[in-house]
Amino acid sequence: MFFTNLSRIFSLGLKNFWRNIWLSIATTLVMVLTLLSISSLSILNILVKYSISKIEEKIDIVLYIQENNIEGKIDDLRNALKNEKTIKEIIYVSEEEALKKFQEKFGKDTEIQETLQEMNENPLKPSLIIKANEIDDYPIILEAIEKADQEKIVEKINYEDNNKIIEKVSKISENIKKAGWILSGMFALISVLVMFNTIRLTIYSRRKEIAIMKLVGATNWYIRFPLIIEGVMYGIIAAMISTLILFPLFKIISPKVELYFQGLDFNMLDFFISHLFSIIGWQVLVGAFLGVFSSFIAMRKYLKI
Amino acid sequence: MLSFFKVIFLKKVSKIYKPNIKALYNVSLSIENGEFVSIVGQSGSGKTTLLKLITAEIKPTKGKVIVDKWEVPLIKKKYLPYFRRNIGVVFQDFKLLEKKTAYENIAFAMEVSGCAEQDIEECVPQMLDIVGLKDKANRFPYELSGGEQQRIAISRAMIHEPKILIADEPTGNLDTLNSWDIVQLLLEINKLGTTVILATHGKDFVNSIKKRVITLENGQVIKDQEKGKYIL
Repeated sequence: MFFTNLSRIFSLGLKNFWRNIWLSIATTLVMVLTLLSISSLSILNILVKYSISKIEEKIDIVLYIQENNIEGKIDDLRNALKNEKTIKEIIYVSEEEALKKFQEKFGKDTEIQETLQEMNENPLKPSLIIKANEIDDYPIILEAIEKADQEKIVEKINYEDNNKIIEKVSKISENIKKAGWILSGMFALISVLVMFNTIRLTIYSRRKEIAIMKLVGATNWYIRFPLIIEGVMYGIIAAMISTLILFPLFKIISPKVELYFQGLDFNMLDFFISHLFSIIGWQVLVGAFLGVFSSFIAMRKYLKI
Repeated sequence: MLSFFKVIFLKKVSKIYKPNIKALYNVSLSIENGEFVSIVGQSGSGKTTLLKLITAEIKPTKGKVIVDKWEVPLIKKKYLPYFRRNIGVVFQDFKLLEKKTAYENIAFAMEVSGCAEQDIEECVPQMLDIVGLKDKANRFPYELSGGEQQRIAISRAMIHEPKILIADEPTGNLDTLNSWDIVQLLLEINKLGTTVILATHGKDFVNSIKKRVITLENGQVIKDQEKGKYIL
């Protein structure tokens, strides 16, 4: 008997969706808007996070090694620092490589080139470029470096100069992240409230029907379940429509975003396609959840009798 | 008449709305199994209140209401649906589900109690045949006339073969001819053993069917006659 009821409830839910089609369409569209706003904001947040991390990546500490140092001692230092968990990468740049980079950078500046040529030897020193995992860890890394540098081969650390920039970037990125979440949160809340109200109206307009079902002897769950299934249907259909809308939208925005992120190696379309399943998945989950939740709360009011 | 026990029993029942509106006051009556009872009175006399107390739609302020061995005011919410399945109710405005066909409206009453699909497919067409609407099984309520809708409502009420059928002004929205048909249908149902309670304004029906008449006025029973007449 349980399964008979279950299958009946499902088919009732589907039938109801179809027979109240205009109401269903209206509710579904509102849900589509809700999902679109939540999705766009999430993606915006991801983009912001991504760009911030890319910027943070460019920040590093450079340890300038004293002249006339044997590579062996540099390796010792490197090994000593290897176990430091806060350090992401240590790159060694020899004098020759430093010179090469310098020349590439200022190749077109003839004055600099001439000055270089007048100097007989390479004025640039070898260096170790240190990148951290988290931008806040640089002070810890500095300490680690002091400890590790037993033989004091490090002549200069450019951290102090960069420090201010690092602090600034750190602060800005924190604030942007916070603002991003607050804004997203606000919009998500607004969309959810709108959608909740829409479903409430849907159920309100069917209150007569609900009352009759009670008079005929239907239990609360027999009345609730089909409505909950309708809520799920709104959610799933809305998720699919929303994904279909996002796809061309991404295609259009993609080139513009790439322009903005020039040099940061980011392709929006690829991102979208690679994350397609999770995008659909999340929307279906959120949509279905919102649908069910709203239906449930809305019904409590009209099933009091 | 089978009268082992009183299928409906009211003892000193009052329903008072704030501040001091006495919809029903100190009403005591009993109805035996298999009776056909008409409840008459002007609008506001308490007819509908009385019926609502019997169907557990409202609770009395005072007094006992016993319907088919259930003490109605004490029925817990979760058992109400099961109680309601034992009583058939028919209303003035039919109260059919608009988005379901005639067939589905009747079937719904069976579905809610978990009846097997086979039983439904067997019983519902029979019922439609009895009320003469077999060929309109797939019509929606808005496609049926008032009389036809009421007959569907009665079919729905009877599909569970309830002990009691309550009709609250069933002919209120119908013309005279249709009204007679409905009353005849109710009498037929009563002949087969169902207790029928008919709340109505219709003088003519009440006078001609020569059954028990309970007259209400201002929330109190002023007359209770076996072969009563509608006299106000």
